[in-house]
Amino acid sequence: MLKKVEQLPENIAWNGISFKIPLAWEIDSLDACHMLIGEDGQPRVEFKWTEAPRKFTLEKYLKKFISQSQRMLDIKIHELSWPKSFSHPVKNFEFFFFSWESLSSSGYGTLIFCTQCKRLTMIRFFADSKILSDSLPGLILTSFTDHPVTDHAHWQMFGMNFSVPWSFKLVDYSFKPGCYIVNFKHDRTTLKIFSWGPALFLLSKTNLEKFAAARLPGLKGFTQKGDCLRGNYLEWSYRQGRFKNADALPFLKRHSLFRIFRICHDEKANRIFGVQVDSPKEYGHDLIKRSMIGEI
Amino acid sequence: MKFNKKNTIKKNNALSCIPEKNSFIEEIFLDSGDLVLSYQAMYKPFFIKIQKMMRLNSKKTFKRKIQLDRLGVDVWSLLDGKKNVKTIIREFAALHTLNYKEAEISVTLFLRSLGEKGLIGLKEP
Repeated sequence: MLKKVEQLPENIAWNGISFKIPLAWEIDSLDACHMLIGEDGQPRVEFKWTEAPRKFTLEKYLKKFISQSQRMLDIKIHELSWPKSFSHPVKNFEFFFFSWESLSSSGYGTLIFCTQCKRLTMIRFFADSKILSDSLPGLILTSFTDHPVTDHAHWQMFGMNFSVPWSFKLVDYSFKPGCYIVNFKHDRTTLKIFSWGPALFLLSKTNLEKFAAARLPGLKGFTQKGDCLRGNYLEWSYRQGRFKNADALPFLKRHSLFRIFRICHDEKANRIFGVQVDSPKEYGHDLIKRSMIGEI
Repeated sequence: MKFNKKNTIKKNNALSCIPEKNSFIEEIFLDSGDLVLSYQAMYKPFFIKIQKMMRLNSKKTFKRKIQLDRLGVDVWSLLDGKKNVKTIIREFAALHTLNYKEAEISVTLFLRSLGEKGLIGLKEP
């Protein structure tokens, strides 16, 4: 029997939410505000969240969310009382415990409303074990947070582990075998995080510089070298016009973006990580410093 | 177990199946580390008809070759007729420090393409 949150080794952090799960569990499906965790193809826990509208009453908001969830997930939700001996370290959370049933399965779950960030999260466990403090669902709930404590949001999934300023919003993502890309945007600044693998195979017939040039055509300027947390990195920084030869026209210069691209081969993880920042000002270095391939 | 559209195999059952190599395949290892698999393939009936019309030596089969890269060779070498698909995925993931999900997609797609070419078959455990 699991007793402590520390015994859940795998940390998942995605779009503001963060929680811990057992090592054998993995992400089965992922969306901007939905996540299904499974084990050997069997669902174990599901997270679904939404932001509150500007004007709302919690009661109406909960009712609407519950009826929407029941319809979308084809389940019936029954309210439960607060489980005995359950407590959560985050005091901003308001809990609504429930049991659910569908035609094929049943389980327990909770709705969590955060009074600070106004986010409503449904956590649904696919098991008949009740939510108790020392049970697995209880420990997962204890490790759950729905917004970052600092101004940086932590992201951790599929071997990627980085932090991004909270003001940067997720725009797009792609998790294809061999190439993961997560794309963020804030005002006119875009931030792209890359992860390619397996690195030994990808670099078996080429080197990191040629690999970078193949993945990001148009790299120009001097190649800078340095050391970061994951090993040696290569970096390029240059001004990039909105289209080819745009810099030749003086009035278009102010529309050009300052690009920084840093790439690093992490030998231990057997991956190649990359960070690309396109911003109107030379501000990208601050972002990279705190990213997953920031300086030592 | 029947594999038709109406009676599709479930993911868990498919992962517990054991892939087995076609014994008629010739393996040629290249210096680069790549592997060439050579096997007999059937001409399509249309081409056999053309051969007959042109009174050429009508062969029903020809030799087809496919070249596997390093990753393909690693999966191919794990096919020993004893390990099931799930074990192969786990070993491949460990070999290349890959996430299980990433390895699962790559390996199952690869095995599927080998199966479509008749290079492997799947047997129930």
